[in-house]
Amino acid sequence: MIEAIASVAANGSSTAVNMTSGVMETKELAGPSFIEALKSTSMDTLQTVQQSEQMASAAMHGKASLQEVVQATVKAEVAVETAISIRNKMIESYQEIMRMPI
Amino acid sequence: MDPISAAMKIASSGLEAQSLRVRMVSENIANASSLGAAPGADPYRRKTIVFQPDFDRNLGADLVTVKKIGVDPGEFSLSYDPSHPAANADGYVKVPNVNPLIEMTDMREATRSYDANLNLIEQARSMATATLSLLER
Repeated sequence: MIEAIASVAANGSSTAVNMTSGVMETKELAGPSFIEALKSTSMDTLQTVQQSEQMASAAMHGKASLQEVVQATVKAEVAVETAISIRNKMIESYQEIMRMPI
Repeated sequence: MDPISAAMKIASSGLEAQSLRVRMVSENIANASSLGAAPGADPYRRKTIVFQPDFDRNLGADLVTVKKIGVDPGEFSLSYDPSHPAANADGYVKVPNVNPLIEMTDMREATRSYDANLNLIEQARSMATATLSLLER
């Protein structure tokens, strides 16, 4: 695609040249993509919730203290809250795009 | 780990340490009149608790942990009770070195400290929730 744009740029107009450099810059951005970041965050959330469940079951067997259980539960609660907030935000933006007149 | 969950974990270790302290105080109070069985035998010796920081590599912060539960080497006082099986030749029985006033102060301190840690967890949670509420406009 970059080559295609580059060929357009080579053919003439200055706006096309600017576009090329713009595309190049985005391509050069390092680090994880948004989807990857989302994936790792949701895996973290899942893990936190699982830990909290394990802790609760350990407490039922008398193997974990009340404090540990509460801490794990609160942590899971915050993680789930975060996940839900992000999900809501994403659905909101999706709907916003869907409402766009074509 | 993000600082807010780290704070909650640290506070939770504080909760555990303070609850152990309450356990120790309750042991001391419950045994305040546990005397020896044989003549001249030692009665219950007051227990003490020592805390120490415990560096958590995962968290990169100091948790609190109980270093040891020791005993108070203080002198036993004597009370005159010749009919007791633990009475010595002069009729005196050794009484535990538990001072209810000290135990109560210790218990209050543990309770306050526990409350402080609880408040910290609550505060950390409300900070996280408040930050998240930025997302729901």
